[in-house]
Amino acid sequence: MTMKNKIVMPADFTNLSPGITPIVELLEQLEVDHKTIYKVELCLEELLANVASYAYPPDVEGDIEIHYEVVEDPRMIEITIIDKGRFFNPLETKDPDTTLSAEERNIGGLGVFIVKNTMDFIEYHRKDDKNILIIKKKI
Amino acid sequence: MNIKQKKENKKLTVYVSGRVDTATAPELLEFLKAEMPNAEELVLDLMDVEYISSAGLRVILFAQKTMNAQGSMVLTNVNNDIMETFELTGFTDILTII
Repeated sequence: MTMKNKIVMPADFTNLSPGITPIVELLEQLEVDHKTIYKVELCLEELLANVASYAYPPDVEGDIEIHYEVVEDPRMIEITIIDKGRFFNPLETKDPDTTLSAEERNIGGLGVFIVKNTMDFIEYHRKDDKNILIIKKKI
Repeated sequence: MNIKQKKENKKLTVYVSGRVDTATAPELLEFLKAEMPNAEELVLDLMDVEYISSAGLRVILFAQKTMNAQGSMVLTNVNNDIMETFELTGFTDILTII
């Protein structure tokens, strides 16, 4: 299966499901194991939430474009997230220190940390005033 | 997401169900902020929670910090997917999960 799919959704962090549900449903149709689907869903939410919060600040509306397809050898779900917001490279986010006590912990950076440690591939580009993030996960 | 609670003296048990994500985590935060001040023991029962994203982790961290200062907190009925996220982020070291 190499059919490319595209979603365009508003960057609204109170409703990210338009960018998540179709991809979860595709993986379910392909009978991908639950654990893998959960991880893809989680990472998608983290990344879309970041776009809706940082690439587009609260007073700025914008769209998020999502392209996704299943590629073979090895079989992977490949997802590209594109926005026209301000420069935001999530890979530059500082990793949280996961060894600190609760008191010493900060609340930032957890989402991107999860994505970096869950996906098999992650790449960021800034091109034509767009943030372009590509993630891949073996399925 | 749905939230129910049970109070026994200074013990507060909060039963959460559904998804704790970017959209719903703020509601859980507001609930805990309102209910935690009188609690010395907080039980977060996650039996019916199927999904937690980092927005939910931040709320749990806030609750843990608050309860460290005024008593104790435990989490119960954590499913495997959520446990994996707790492990990945080092939350298993700062939470008491029974």
